[in-house]
Amino acid sequence: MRMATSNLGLHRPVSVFVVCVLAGFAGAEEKGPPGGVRFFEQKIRPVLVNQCYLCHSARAATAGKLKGKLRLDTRAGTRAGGESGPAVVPGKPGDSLLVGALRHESFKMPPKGKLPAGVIADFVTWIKMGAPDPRDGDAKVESPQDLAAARKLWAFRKVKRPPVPRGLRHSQWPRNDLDRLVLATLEARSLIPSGDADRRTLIRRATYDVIGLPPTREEVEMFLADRQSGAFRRVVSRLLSSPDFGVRWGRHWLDNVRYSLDDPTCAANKNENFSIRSYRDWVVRSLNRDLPYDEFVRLQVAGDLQIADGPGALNADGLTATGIWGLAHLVEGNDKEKVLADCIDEQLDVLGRTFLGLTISCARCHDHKFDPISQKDYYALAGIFYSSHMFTFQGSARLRRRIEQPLVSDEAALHRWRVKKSVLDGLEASIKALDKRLGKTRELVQVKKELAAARQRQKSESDEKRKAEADKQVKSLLGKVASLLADRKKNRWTFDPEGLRRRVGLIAERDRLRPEVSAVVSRMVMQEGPVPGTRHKRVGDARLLLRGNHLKPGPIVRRGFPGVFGDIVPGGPEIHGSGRRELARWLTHPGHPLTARVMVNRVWQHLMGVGIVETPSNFGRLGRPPTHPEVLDWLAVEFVESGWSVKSVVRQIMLSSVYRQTSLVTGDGFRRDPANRWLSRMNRKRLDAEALKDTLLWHAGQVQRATGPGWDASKRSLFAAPTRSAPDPLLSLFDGPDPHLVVPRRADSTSAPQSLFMMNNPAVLSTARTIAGGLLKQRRTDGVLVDALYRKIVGRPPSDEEQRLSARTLDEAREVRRRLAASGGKAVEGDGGAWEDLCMALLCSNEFIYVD
Amino acid sequence: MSIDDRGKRQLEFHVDRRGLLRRASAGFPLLSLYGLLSEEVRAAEVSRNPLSPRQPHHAPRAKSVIFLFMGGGPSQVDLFDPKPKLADHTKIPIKLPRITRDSTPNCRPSPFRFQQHGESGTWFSELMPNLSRHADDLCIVRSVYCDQIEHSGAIRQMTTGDGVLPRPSVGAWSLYGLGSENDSLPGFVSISRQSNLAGKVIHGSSFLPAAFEGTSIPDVKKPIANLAMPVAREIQATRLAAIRRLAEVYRRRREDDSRLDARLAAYELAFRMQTRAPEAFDLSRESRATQDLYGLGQKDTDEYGRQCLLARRLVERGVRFVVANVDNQWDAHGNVRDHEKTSRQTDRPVAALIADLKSRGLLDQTLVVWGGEFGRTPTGQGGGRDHHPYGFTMWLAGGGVRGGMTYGSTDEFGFFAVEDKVHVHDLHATMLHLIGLDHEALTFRYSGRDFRLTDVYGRVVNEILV
Repeated sequence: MRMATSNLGLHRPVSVFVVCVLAGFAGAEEKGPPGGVRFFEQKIRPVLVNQCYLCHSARAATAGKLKGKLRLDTRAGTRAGGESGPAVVPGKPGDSLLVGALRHESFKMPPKGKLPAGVIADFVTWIKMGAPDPRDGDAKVESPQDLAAARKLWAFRKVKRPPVPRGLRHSQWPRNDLDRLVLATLEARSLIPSGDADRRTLIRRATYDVIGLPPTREEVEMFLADRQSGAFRRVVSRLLSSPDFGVRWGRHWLDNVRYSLDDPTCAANKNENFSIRSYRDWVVRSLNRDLPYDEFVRLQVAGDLQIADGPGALNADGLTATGIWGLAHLVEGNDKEKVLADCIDEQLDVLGRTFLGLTISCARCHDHKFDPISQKDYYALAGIFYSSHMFTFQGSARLRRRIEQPLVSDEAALHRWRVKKSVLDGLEASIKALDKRLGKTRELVQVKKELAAARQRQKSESDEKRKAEADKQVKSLLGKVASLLADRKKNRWTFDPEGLRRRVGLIAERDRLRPEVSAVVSRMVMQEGPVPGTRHKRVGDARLLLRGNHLKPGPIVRRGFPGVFGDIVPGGPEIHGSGRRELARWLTHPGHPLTARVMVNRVWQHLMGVGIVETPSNFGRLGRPPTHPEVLDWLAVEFVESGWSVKSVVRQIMLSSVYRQTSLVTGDGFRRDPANRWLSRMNRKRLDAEALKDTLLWHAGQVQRATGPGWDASKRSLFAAPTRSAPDPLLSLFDGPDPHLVVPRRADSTSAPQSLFMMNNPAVLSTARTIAGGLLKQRRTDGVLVDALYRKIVGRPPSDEEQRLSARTLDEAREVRRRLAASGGKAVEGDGGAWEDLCMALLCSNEFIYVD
Repeated sequence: MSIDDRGKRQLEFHVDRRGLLRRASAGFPLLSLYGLLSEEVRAAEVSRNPLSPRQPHHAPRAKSVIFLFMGGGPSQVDLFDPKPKLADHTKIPIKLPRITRDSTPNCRPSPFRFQQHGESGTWFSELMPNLSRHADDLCIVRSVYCDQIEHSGAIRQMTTGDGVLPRPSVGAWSLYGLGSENDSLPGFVSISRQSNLAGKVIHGSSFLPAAFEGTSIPDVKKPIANLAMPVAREIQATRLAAIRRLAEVYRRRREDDSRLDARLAAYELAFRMQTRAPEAFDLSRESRATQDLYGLGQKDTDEYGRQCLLARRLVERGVRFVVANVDNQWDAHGNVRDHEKTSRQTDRPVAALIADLKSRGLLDQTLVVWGGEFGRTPTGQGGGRDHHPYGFTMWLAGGGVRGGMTYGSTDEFGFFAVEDKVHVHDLHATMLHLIGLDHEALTFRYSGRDFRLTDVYGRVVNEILV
């Protein structure tokens, strides 16, 4: 990804990012020993002034001649460096780009010609001394790479359980500590929380949130009738134990990984659909059985490296989980290195944004402009992915393909499988060869068999007509035999019944072996070792690419994790193999400041409509700061302590008073907090594309709720997800995820094409027809039917006023249809049509598509 | 689509544009004000009504764009860029660049005759007998180049600027920048398709809000999806009335939620579209003479003739951006003479479009761009020519473009663009410029940074502007 850096921050006040140097910043340590300064003044400064300032100074900048955004006329500029990174890293000549440039290795500076070796040696000496440099002053850009400063940013601070606020005024309102924390924020702003929504609203909200479908009429009635305490808790528990939970929340996860059933951007691979489906199914299953989130992450990052339980056991889950990395684009291109670099960039993008909430891939071409992710950090992580692969470039670049691996982790089992596979392949080949040789023999045997059967019929058949048929058949078969025999003479092939017997034996052996081999499924999985067919030959550190350009490899960067995190896993990374095992361990360490925070924020967003951090995949400086940092931390602590249980976070939030609030505006809450940042009410949510589609299909009887074993989930939208080649029109109309992108948050758009869809699409019409047909079968009064219709579509009985309005709609519809029919127009007269009209109106209503 | 990062901020950011203009214009000339504030104003307006017409950055030269996408890659040396020298080198190999596919290094002279046309003396081959009559209206750019040598990547780049990653198309950017001028038609339409590239790319909005996505009409003979009313208009009106009633009841105690009114308004608009859009798409309303001009009803020209005529009807009604696609017909690997057929199919409709726009006074306010995802090698491949991104010809006409001009040049073999090179980014910058948008100022924040159609590149080719 090339970065549009030149316009970054163009339209924002510059002062936000420019901080004046504080007095005393340039301490003695910066200046170094007096002798050092003398060395600088004698040996270094004159060279800089004479050779570099023309293009790398304030004067060059004002003249518009600044090159590479590098300034060498201040200490700060020299240290911060330009587009390619720090020019001078004190004490480390090897890391200082300036040295490489002077040696004409990375850059050729000065461009006119190399300086004398002695001068270059002076620079090395100077940098080894700590690059003493007295040139203070000048406003300087505060570097986001100042790690000490960056660690003070909320996102990089350790997660801590916040103290529970006391002395709150609305002490009756909170149900748990989460509520107390939210309430404290509200009261600090003199806002008043709202009471619970009514039960009908609550169960509709909860059911959509957990399983993506509306509650049944029975479920609503049961909840209304349950007057024991803990009624809502029981609803939530019932929902969380439904397999539909995984279908709904699996989709939420898949939004973040560019999930797509197909991938036209990669060379066709027939088994690939299967592989991606198995990754999807693994996600759904893992959520349903509440696989601890840390394990969920570990398996995706390094599942192939985990040891299966017991010898010969399958590590199917671990291997399948790594399918996530296969969703990166593998585009057609002429240049393998570029394709690979782009592919790894997308993998790092998912790693960064989805697991860490950091836009790591911004650092591909230069240090991150706002977050403490240096370009070196990027390539330290990239090295891990350069040392792993799931496809090969062997053969032509355009014929790359994904590799399938059998799902076994233990070497002996793998070996046994390979032996069997090769025996099987051998058998298949012999059978094929034999078939070719025995072609005529088999034909002759077959014809003779048919001839015998026909002769039998000839004798036994009494019916004249059939007898005649058999006669005819015998004649034609005799002809065939004769021609085959003639062919044998002419072409000299031998009749080989022995070969036929051998063939039968081979087939029996093949049929015995086949299920044993196919019992071990193969999948597209991540493997250790660099991509075959590229210039990366070994597992190891990767080179930094200058400006992200794969044609300009820079220095090798040691694999590891961004420096800003310090040593989360004590002792630092000791990397074995590709480093994915270490990466997985690092990500899921309980002390990691981001992994848990990012995930609980996602859960919060799906339930509350907006995340505590509104930019769920960007916890960096350009993301939004958390509205409720204490709530975020409280949830993160609880999450980790619960054993990383996603279901338990969902339950905790849903059982809170915050979640149960009404979405209707009460008091002056709207005036005081129009965007509802402080949560004095519930946010109204629009049905997302899948929930809308599934509801329409559910009403039409085409989608069923999970009912235990034998349940067919295949009709749910998740399983008919949009593909990259053929987007589903409904899903994309209603802001479904673009399968090319990481979509941390769905848009909420309102457009005329959506309305056209709702009014005119056959799918909606057929749902309306099904519902209307069902109603009319009841043969009841209009009033009773309107009541039933409201309960069905919006989950509540109509008010008296709505009864009157519905009656009016029915009257009008009947009248219009009567008139049209009378004038010979095309219209279904009578009740069926009118009820369809009312039904359509309800399906197109705001109440249907929004969840209070 | 996601609203990462800035989305919510935009939703909260309520700026009264008029008030802002009033306040600010006290101290600044109005034009510079566009540049100063428009992105924030744009963000605010986009969140309220994505398709409302918006102020451009500067005075526009054209209101609409028609992009005649010549899929497959037309051969520059057989159409616009005569290279007699090729005939001398059929036996002498020329030096090929680092990345090529499998064309031979031997030159293949064009079998077609070239001639100068118009007062400008612009060169056309005999394959453009109709278009060449408009020589003085066209600005032929012979020095276009791009970075992609395969169809999919090159189409992606020609329509979105990036050859690899998912990005919004130039049409989506235009709509994002300017909004729509018709309240009962989509603002961005793509007719037919490029089957070399799957998915939504040519009309896709990628990370821009979905409202800026183009409406795709895969088959010019079939109108917009879901446009046909399944019941009589009167019945549909009854349904709309009922929807209104339900919305009225539901909005009580929910007055704070602007989405509810917006959704009702979308139903009203959809109802208008059902009534009016079919008219816009109905080519039978054109006079016989006009239909003949475009070659409707004739075997070769019917398909593209319909596309061009529909494009005119759409821009006439205020549609901002129309793409009319020739689907890979120019991909002449096997035989250079395959271009004869594609020319028969497109030359007349394209010429008709120019003539028709002109006679209706629409050419001045419409930018017409003609070109493929790349050109073809001056060297041979089988009996034809291979893909060629290093120097090829496109042309522009209409609003703000200098007619009768030939700009830029390729080397003596027509291989590399050498003089006044125009990268796809430069073309995009120029297109945006002509409709009043500054390609450096038109940004959208996504995934933590500001994105542009032209990334960090692009130069407005001022030399070809009037």
